[in-house]
Amino acid sequence: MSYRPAIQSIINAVETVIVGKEDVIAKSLTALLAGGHVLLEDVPGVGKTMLVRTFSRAIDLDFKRVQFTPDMLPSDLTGISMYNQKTKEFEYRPGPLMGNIVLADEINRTSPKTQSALLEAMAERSVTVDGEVKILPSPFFVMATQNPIEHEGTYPLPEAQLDRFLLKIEMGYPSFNEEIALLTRFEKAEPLEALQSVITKHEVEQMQREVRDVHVSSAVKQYIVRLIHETRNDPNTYLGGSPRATLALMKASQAWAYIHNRDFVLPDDVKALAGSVLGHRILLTAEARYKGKTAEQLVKGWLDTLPVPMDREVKEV
Amino acid sequence: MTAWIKRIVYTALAAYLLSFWAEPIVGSTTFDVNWPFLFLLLVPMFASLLPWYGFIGVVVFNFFIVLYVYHGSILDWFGLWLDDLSGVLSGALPEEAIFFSAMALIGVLFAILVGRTYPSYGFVLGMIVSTLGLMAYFDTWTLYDGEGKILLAILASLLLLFVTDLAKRPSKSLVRYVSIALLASVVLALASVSPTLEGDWSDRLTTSFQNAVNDEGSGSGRVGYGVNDEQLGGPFEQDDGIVFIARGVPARYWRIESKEIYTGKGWIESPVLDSEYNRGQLVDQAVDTTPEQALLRFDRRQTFVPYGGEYPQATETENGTEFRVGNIEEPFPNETIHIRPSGKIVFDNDGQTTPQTIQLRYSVPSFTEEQLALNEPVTTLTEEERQAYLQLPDSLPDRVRDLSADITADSETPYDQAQAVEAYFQSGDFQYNTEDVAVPEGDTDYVDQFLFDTLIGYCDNFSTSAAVLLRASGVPTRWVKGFTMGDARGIIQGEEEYTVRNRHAHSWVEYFVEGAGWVPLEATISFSDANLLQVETEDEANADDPAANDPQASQDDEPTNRPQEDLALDDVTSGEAATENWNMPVWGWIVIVFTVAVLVWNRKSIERLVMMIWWTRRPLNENRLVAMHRYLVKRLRGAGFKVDGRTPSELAAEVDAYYESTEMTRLTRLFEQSIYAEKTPNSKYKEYWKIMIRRIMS
Repeated sequence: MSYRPAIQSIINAVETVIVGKEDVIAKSLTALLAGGHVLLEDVPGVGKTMLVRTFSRAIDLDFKRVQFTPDMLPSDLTGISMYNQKTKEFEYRPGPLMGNIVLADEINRTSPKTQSALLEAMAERSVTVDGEVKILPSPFFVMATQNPIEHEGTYPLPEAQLDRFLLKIEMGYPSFNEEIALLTRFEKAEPLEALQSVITKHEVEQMQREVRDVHVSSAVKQYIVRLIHETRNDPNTYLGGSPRATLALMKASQAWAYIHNRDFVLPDDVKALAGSVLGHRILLTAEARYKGKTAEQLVKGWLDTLPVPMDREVKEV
Repeated sequence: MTAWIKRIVYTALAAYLLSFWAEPIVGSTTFDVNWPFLFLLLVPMFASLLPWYGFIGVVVFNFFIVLYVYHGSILDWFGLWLDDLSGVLSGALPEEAIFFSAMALIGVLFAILVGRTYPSYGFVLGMIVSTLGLMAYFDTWTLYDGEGKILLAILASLLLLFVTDLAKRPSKSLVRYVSIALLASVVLALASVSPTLEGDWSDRLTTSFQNAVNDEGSGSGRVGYGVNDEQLGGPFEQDDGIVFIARGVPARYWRIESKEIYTGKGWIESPVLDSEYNRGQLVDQAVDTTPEQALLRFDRRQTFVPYGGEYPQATETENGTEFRVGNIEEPFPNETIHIRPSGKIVFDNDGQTTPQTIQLRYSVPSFTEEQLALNEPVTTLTEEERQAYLQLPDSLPDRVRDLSADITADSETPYDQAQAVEAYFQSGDFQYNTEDVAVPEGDTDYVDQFLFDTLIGYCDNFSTSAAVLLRASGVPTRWVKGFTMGDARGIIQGEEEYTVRNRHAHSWVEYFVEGAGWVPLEATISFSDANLLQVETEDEANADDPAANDPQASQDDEPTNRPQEDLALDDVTSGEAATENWNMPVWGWIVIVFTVAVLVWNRKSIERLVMMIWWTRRPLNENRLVAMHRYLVKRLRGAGFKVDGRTPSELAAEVDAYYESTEMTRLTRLFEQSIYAEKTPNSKYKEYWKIMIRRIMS
């Protein structure tokens, strides 16, 4: 992997805190640069929060954290207007969404009402408080976490809302050596405290614009569309990828190519991200679920057999 | 450096294998020398190690040098070539010039293959299979003897495979060499201490001679020339194995020996007879003879010498009658050959076998009608001889003698009597057949059984019966064995050639006419005696070679001798036409078949060559790049790589890991640049592509 210098410096910075997890770091960065949001799904304690905090530090972004609870209200996210006795006016008190990086912890613990407020903000990049539209700061990057183990008292996110996350990433446990390194790193110091930001907010916005210029050839577009068509035609899927998924796959691939120092997308980029982009957007049939199949397995199967287009000429299959 | 040594050894071994082609192919033609073809085949092989301009230079230079040395001049050769070509186009036999070019072409073809495909298992296996197949084919069906050479060829093949392996999978490890050496020494050690059996290289030709028709016992024999004639009869199978090729003579029966004593079951040699006719002469001195010279090429050494007319020239020496054979292959001056009273020529060397090539000189008698019509008392033969030639067994049934008297009742001269016997067989009651032929059992007489009982038989039945019938009428006869003229090969380099096969083994009769000598008689129905008996009419009394080549004319002379049935084995007229059509381009066919075989075997290499030339000679554009890459991927799929679902770079990583190379990755980078970044194709792609195609398809 060869990253461009700015990207490399972010990754290096993040890696001073997070041990291993290059893939997760690269994918998170991809989502940030593509202007999308990330759903981190894993058991507690694997470093989801640490990852997000490290990111916000390294990029000099305004970090906000929301711990979702069942009794949380939408206004707890968006902020509220309060009556100021002195000025005798309503004043807007911004909620935690008014940050650049928002860690939405345990998003599945809150009520659908609150969830949809978050997701609306993610999509619109604005919130409405008392009929007044408040534009969210830019960049706006939500990293939501959810715990796949607990089901008691949780509100699983509806498919339509999952679709709004560009990538779903699983952290996974560190390997043996990584865990040893983790112990050593945190034995005497707190690396996060020492972390200096390596890139400004402005530069991030600049990168986000550059990502849009990454060239997507017609061959790659065909590859993406064929892959999405596979998700719709496979007998194991109940719901395949939406056109939004197609778009997401392309944008994510652009960002992935960009951070890999390329100004054009390769089929390899599509392949690398297809699992994370499509995994949470596909619904399996009851039969497939019963057989123990997962969306990730299906995606892998499609990728394994789908021929990679090798010319510009568009051919419908 | 070692890579070059491997390549040189590889090329040399391939050339060595190819060198085995020259002898059988050239041997099946009329060329006497191998060396020009060895040069034409092998020099280009070695030249393939040079760059293309060097290769072309050496090949052209080699061709003209060989041509000059062989032919003596280059200038008139183009004219020859054109003549030859126009001749071939009008249906004639290809001659020297075209054959020369064909061999040169084969040489160049193989050189290009070996050079372009190096190192290639496909090429090597194709080379081995076609070489061994060719040797086996020619060894079995032609005069070529590959016994010793096939071992060398196999050894060279194994070595070539080993070198190919070394070249394809370079490894610094010594394990391979050590294990091979170890294995070889173990095998050698085992072989040297094991009890051995004497090698048996006999192939079907030898076997057929051992099982010749006259072999004892019932069951079906094989036709061929056999020594033991004591028990005649029984069916036989046809055998197309070649015995010899006769050159320089018209169609002619080939006499080997005669037998005198009829036992009632078959023939045996009489105790030694001695008359001047047995000293190099069959006919009276009054009979005109024409000297003739024949070149016989034997498939393998034989214990007999066939000759076309009178006994071959013999000389009187202190040791008795000696017979010298001029041998064109090796000096053969001290080897003496005796003529037995039967006319059989016996070699005094250890194996009592002939050289493989014999130059024979003999005289062909040509009787006049007056000579044949003579009816003098027999005085030339001694009484002892006369009695031997008139011998009949006591067991011979009387009805045979009665029949003889009936047949010859109206005939006065021996010639008329012989004609009467021949006519009797052609009366329509008798049938020529090689399958349903009885073996006389118990006291049954062989002749009696045939004449009165079965009426079905082949040459032995007819000739023996004719000899016995004539003897019963008082005409001295003897039973003669040999071959018919064989299959015409056509006129080759101005001389006629005939292929004589086992199935041409034949027997006929000679009867004695005082004043004329021994006159041959073809008693077997459906056989013509045109090639056996020459009779001068007054018109052609001075002609040297009357009627021998003209069966039609002979048949006019001898209306009773027209071939009767389709069963005719040696029907000269039809046989000649048929065999000529087949024989004419024999080597041409061989060249074509083997070229096609080699092309098929090496189709991958050829396809690769074509693709290389096709794609890499033209400027690269996007469509060509895509097509080239598709072809490459197709070849990779053919080579066993998983292609579907792989991105170009994933495939490249796997391919490079397998071949321990970097070109596939570099090539893929360039491919990605032009397809996915949609930039102008980089022409360096072609270089990597060539390297990869060569690697995949070798």
